[in-house]
Amino acid sequence: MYDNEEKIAFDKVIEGIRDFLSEEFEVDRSEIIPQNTLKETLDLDSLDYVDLVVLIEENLDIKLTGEDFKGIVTFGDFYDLVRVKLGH
Amino acid sequence: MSRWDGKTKGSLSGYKLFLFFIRHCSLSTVYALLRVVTYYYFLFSAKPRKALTGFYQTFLPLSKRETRELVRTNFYKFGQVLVDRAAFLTGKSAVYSHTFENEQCLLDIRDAGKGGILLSAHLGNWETAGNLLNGRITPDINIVMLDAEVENIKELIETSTGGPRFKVIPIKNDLTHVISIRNALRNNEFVAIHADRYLDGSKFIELDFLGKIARFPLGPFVIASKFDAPVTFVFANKNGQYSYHLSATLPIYNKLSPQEIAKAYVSTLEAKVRVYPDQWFNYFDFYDRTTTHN
Repeated sequence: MYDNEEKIAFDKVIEGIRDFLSEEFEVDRSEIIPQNTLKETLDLDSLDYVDLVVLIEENLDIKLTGEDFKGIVTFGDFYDLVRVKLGH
Repeated sequence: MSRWDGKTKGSLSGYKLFLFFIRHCSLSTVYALLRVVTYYYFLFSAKPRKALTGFYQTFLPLSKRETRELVRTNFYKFGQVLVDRAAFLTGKSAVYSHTFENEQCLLDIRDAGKGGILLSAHLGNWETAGNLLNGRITPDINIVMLDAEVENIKELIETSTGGPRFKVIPIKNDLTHVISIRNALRNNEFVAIHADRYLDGSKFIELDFLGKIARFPLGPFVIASKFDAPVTFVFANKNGQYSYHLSATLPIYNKLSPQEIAKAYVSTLEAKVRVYPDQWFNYFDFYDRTTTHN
């Protein structure tokens, strides 16, 4: 029961992430799915990274380190990172 | 071809010899030897000589002879700055003195607790500035730079001098350096970024610089605009045989666009270059706009 509640809560977080990424990077929400890559889907260049870091911190209230993002390629990888950071 | 690849010129044996002289000779002797080296570079480094000549001729009303003299002085000053940098770290820092214009601005930034973004340029001796600021203003200075130096030269410099007294945030092709900058600011540290050189393939902004359009990297100004930290422009220029003039501009605390910050920066940089034209250490065609990336 607890696991289910936690899953529902985290699903809400994921939906929130899809909302702000889709809005800020003007990408169709349907493209923000676990198997797609962040860089290509959001068409990120080096300057967009600044926006991405600010958005993540503002919307999710988590503190990232450079190490955290090593190996993050897909949205699935990113969701896993958020899950760890939020303690879900 | 890239305007700049982030690597220092010179061989490992050349560096060893350089450090040997600094360790075992007086600085005045090293400076004297430097004159010979300067002539060698002036004669055989056609590309930087041409680039500097073209740069000076865009804004200084000098004769050809005077321009040549200024280029020679520039090469000599550059050599002195490299010597000073190494001498400073090898225990000869007491030889040097410095004055600090607007030091209070940096103290105020530190006391505000949000960290500070220091935008600088390859004009004068930024590395010694970082070493001087560290400990005097704040315990932690970070310098954002391309970490492309040849590994064995880097090791030699580190083992011989103990390495710089500031932290380096290496620029990577991902967002790790952006996060490192963010976290340094959160820890109330200073982050120094050079905003006068861009690499091919990176975004740039074109602005009038000393009467001609030049390209500046957009990244530092985006960071300065988006991260919630005061911004100031800092420079360290040699104003005597063994003395430096450090300066900081009044901090920008309000939210400005990257373009607005870039314009303010370029205006300050122009004024500095006019005072210290012989310390302009960008040895490529600064007004080259032929690269197609943006």
